[in-house]
Amino acid sequence: MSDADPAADPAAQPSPPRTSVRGPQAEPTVREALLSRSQAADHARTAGADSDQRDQAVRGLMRAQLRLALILGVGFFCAVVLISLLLVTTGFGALTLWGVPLAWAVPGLGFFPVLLVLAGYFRRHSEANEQRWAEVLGLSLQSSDSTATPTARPGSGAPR
Amino acid sequence: MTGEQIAVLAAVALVCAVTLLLGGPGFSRSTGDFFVASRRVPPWMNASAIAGEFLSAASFLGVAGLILAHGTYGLWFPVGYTAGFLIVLLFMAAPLRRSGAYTIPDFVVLRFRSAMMRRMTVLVVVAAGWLYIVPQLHGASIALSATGGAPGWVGPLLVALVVLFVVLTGGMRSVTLAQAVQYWVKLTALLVPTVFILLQVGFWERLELPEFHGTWSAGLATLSGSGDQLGDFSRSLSVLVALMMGTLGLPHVLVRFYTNPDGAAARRTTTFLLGLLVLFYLLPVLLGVIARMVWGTTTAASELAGTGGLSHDTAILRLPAAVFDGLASDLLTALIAGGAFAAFLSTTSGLVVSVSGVLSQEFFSGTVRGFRLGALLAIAVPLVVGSATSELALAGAVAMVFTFTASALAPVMLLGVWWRGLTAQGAFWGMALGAVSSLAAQVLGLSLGEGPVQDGPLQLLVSPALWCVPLAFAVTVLVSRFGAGQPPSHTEAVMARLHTPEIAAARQNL
Repeated sequence: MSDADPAADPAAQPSPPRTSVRGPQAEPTVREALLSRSQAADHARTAGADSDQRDQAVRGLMRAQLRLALILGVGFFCAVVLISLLLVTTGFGALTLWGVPLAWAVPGLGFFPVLLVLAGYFRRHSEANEQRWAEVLGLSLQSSDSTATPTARPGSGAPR
Repeated sequence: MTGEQIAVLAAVALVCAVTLLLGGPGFSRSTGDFFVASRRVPPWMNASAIAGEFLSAASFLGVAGLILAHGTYGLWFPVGYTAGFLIVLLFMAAPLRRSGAYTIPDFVVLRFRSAMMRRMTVLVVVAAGWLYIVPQLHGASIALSATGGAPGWVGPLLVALVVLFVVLTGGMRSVTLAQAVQYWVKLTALLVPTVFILLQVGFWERLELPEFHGTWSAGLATLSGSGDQLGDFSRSLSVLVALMMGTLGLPHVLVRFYTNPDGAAARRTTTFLLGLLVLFYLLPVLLGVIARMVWGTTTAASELAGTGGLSHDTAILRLPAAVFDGLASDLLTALIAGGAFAAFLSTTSGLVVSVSGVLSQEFFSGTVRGFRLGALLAIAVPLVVGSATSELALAGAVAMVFTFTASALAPVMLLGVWWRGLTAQGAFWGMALGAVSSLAAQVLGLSLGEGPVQDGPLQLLVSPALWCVPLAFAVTVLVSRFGAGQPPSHTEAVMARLHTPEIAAARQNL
């Protein structure tokens, strides 16, 4: 369909100069930097209670999580150092377990179950910390059920 | 051409073809697909993808090689790699996901809003990526020349071409599924040979094994000071520190946390990931011990290193031929070589994508052309560096990269997430000093001696994590505390963002 009105014809308009699209050239503002896809965190910050109480609650949560992480992380490292010192400096390393000296069995196999147990322990307890935080503020967490939905809901398999 | 060479080349060709197929333009992958997928990927799949990208040449070939060459020292690498993800889980997984940052420079900008910090982080991340790609290419060279009979330059070139094709045509992100498949390929490629070899070695009388007891004596091949047990201890400790802290700074691993739906899922993913890594690392440890049984004398070990003119990193690749003969040996060798190639390809493409993304954002104004230029640079520089540097043991070379990231990035990342008092100035000096001191020490140590395992004070230079990492932490804290700078004004807001759990949207009347 040919257009009779020259004003509507884009070719007749003086076209604006072409500009190449570039990535961000300046630092983002705080607001931009904090903009999240889901904005869930922002809702949490503005919902539920007055701002003082919210700040207190988040600080408390942070302290609890940090304490938990430090105890487990530093504890694991110190345990590994002490145990391997024991293996190296004393005769323990030469003791055998089913024919394998402990100097081999402990670093080769022994630390792996410990790592798994620590990881499971941390996951449970950090989630419990967050649950407590939510209860203090009267919120409900985007619960662990929602992370399980992809497997639990068979109808959601096809993305289209 | 022997049967083994044909089998190996066929397996490598198959792995490359599958990678091209999954990663190339034919496979549907719109941005929408990617983001939709990212909301629905269950944690175990995400964990497989991270493991697929993380398990590199060092894990696949290097660990067993180090166990063969240096005994218990090699056992610390799997422990360190796995413990590194424990640290990620404890301190970083959920806050990183909640930060919304896609790359390490993104996180630094969110935290400090400083162009100078951003630029320096970019340099550190790119350097780490380049240094990490070098041993991958080196591993490809070893694997193809030791088993396929190809000249040394063929492997690196093949990896570079396949990765470039995938990254250039496939665009920014490889599909989570493709990376997840890689983990299971690698696991199978080691599991099947391990089972067969274990069964065969079980029949003691059939094999001419050296005295079993020799398996357990410490340093076999190059390490002179097997009596120096405290030296061994400090060496192992340094590796442990480097690997535990260095995992925080791996650019290609960090990206994957963003595909989790929320912080809690990020923790779940990391917990699964630890399980997958433990499952995998049992195999190289077992194979390394078996390799010591088979080549359990100093002469046999040096013969092994001598025959190919290569390092102990080929131990796993040669093991089937030492235990079996005929077709079984050919097929198992081909399986291992194919798995090793999957390791080189997945790690390298992950690294190239993250390095070129960062490069193009920073230097080529974020255009598609810039991304392609970045990808070329990301792989070309390691190709040149790799052909110029001498061969280090794979796991040793990767440990050096971990030492670098542990010193340069770990203090800023950890303190950035957990400490309100951190200033941009403190972060700057900590990162600069960590990067410079760890790099300088390692380069100096390598140029003064040979290889990544040495005796006495040189060891402090070659594996400097034991003093570099605490130094970087101390500088970051001291400059933040006593320097002129103030913590960024938006620190409180960022901290709240990092540590506030996602809440149910339904309750909030959106």
